[in-house]
Amino acid sequence: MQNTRSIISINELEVVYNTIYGQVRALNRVSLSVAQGEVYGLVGESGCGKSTLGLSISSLLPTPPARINSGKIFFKDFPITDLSDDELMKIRGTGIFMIFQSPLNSLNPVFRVGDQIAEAIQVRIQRENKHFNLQEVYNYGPIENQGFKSAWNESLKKSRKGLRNWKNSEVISEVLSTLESVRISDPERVANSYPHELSGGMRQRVMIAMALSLRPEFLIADEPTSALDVTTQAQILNNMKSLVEKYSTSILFITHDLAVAANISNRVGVMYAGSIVEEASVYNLFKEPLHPYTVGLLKSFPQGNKRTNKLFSIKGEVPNLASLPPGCPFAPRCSQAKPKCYNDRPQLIEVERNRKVACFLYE
Amino acid sequence: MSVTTFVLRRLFMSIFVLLGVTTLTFIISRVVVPNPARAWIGPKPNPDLLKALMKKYHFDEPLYMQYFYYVIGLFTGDWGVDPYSSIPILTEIRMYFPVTIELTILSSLISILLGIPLGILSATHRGKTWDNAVRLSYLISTSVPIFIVALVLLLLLGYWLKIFPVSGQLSLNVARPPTITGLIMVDALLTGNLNAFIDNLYHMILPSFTLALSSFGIITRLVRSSMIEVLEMEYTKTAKVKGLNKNKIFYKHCLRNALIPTVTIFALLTAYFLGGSLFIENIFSLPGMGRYTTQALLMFNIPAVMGTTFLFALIIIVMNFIADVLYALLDPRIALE
Ligand SMILES: Nc1ncnc2c1ncn2[C@@H]1O[C@H](COP(=O)(O)OP(=O)(O)OP(=O)(O)O)[C@@H](O)[C@H]1O
Ligand code: SF4
Ligand SMILES: [Mg+2]
Repeated sequence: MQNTRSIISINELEVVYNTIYGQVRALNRVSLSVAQGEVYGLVGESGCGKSTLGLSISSLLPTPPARINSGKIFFKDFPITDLSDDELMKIRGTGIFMIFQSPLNSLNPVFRVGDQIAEAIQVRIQRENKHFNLQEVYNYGPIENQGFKSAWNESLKKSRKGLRNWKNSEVISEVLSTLESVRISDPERVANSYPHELSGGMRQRVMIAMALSLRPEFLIADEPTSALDVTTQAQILNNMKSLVEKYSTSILFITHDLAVAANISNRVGVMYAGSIVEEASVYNLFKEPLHPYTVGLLKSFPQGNKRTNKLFSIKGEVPNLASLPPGCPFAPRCSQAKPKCYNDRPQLIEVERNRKVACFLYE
Repeated sequence: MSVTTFVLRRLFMSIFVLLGVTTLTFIISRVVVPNPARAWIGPKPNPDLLKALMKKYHFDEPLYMQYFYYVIGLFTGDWGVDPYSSIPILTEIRMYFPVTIELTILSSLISILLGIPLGILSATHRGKTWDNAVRLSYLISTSVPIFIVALVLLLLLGYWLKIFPVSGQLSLNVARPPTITGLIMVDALLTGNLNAFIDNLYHMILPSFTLALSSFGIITRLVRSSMIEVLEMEYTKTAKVKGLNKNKIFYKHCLRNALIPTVTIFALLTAYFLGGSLFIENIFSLPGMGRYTTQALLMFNIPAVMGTTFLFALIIIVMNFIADVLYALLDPRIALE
């Protein structure tokens, strides 16, 4: 992967949240890069900074309270962290898209779901196909103005009957087929529904459909399958894989489910208290975890037929990000900690080819 | 539940509220003056006249029958007779009401035109100079009593700078257009009398502006807070991350959501305007409902007070109903409720 062009590269990113309890250091000098067509799985316990990393890349951190203290993020050659909103607009959507963690409020409550997906399709079409008659797309009533209800139904009928307006009906049938591809069995009904009429899992799939229809170069998926049953989850993972195959999309896949991470990722980063502590290919990480935290994490993950009833849990507590000790963040919970671990911070260094770990045991 | 059933249900509820109001005005009128007939004739009543009146207004019958006649009267257009002028209350209201309608509509327009953009400006410049200026202005707007605002503006713009006329509806040299609707501006337009239209508008600007100035803060404040809320919502982030342009994010995805709660305060605002008209119409010598009501109160004109109270309540109930319906139309989530 090292030789291929990286689509996202993050350099020593430090993000803090200013709260009344002090500065919460959500990201502590995080560096990582994702290559084109690569799926990078980001795993870690709740509150370790995964969403913060995703939001930093999409430039949607709530500022305030968040602030980027130092570090840069590059999307291809663009320094995202220095761009204005207008410049970001051109990158977002087809360049970078993000599926947010909470599916409940991600969709606009006053517009029909179908229109919200169609809007995404329009963005893509507008950018990818210069011969496409833009004016015609933008004249498409339902998406542009408020009287869309009847117009939408009207165009829906037309599209089904294959009548005029072939370009509009193309958008509509794409909406319907994308919804179908995320295992929504009655796409017409869902497309015509308002978000509040759908379940959490359905809304999550609508967001995924939106991602699929944008075909972004870089997709950040923040726990995109958390509200879905296993079968649907498997289907969604396949959708994402085909996105990678067909359009060589790169994905940052955030999850706390190691099985999901193992299924979809090429490479996995393990995060702990705002730092990436280990990074390796899926195969290496699961075969032979290096960092003591990863070892603990994998022990709590029931593997194959070695099912244990008791889930392993690492003793001690997740450190308070508002007052991190100077040394290794994992030191208070680490059984192999040395005196040095309490004073110096281990850096994420390459110990083998394509294998990085931040731990003094491997220096 | 469909929007239609929702509307019908609200309508049904409004009727009950209206009946409640009639009960209240009836009780108040009977508590304040146990025998209005007597009050109308004066301290030394002519017994024959009193008897005739008692009969005419059913005061010789039990209370519940009196209430029954009162409600029937309200809905058949018999709101009683002004004891001082002997003109039916409804006829008087028809004379006075148009001025208040003009005043209220103009004030609403001004306060909407002032309130919504200021609220948006404030929300998008949160914490910056613009925001602070707007917040200060609405703080002043809502905390300075309306009659102070009226007097200051009157003194400044009317007497000293002489930009606006200080009283009345029309200049002396402008003839009043023939009454069609009673609203001078509308009548002037209907008869093609542009001169009277402009003159009336010119007279109404200062009072409407005063009323608007002391109420736009309610709108600004609400628009600001709901806009701030919407700008931070997850779906606004979705709109951004989709790659939509600024205008679409703002005007399509945010504004509509932010303005939905604003609709609900129009009933409140109407109530505020009607209350404000009591001051404004007296200060600017406008013959509207506000002045009619103050005079009726001062003269102990019970039928007139009952009539205006009922009318004001009716307006507010209707405005509430309209606000509910608008809300249901704008927000798809409501219909499910
Ligand atoms: N808006 C905010 N204000 C203050 N602190 C915040 C805010 N958002 C996140 N944090 C803090 O930043 C840290 C990282 O949060 P983040 O949401 O990135 O965690 P996460 O890894 O995504 O967790 P989860 O798996 O629960 O989603 C947490 O300690 C959290 O308390
Ligand atoms: S650096 Fe020290 S404390 Fe941290 S994980 Fe390695 S051994 Fe444990
Ligand atoms: Mg998260």
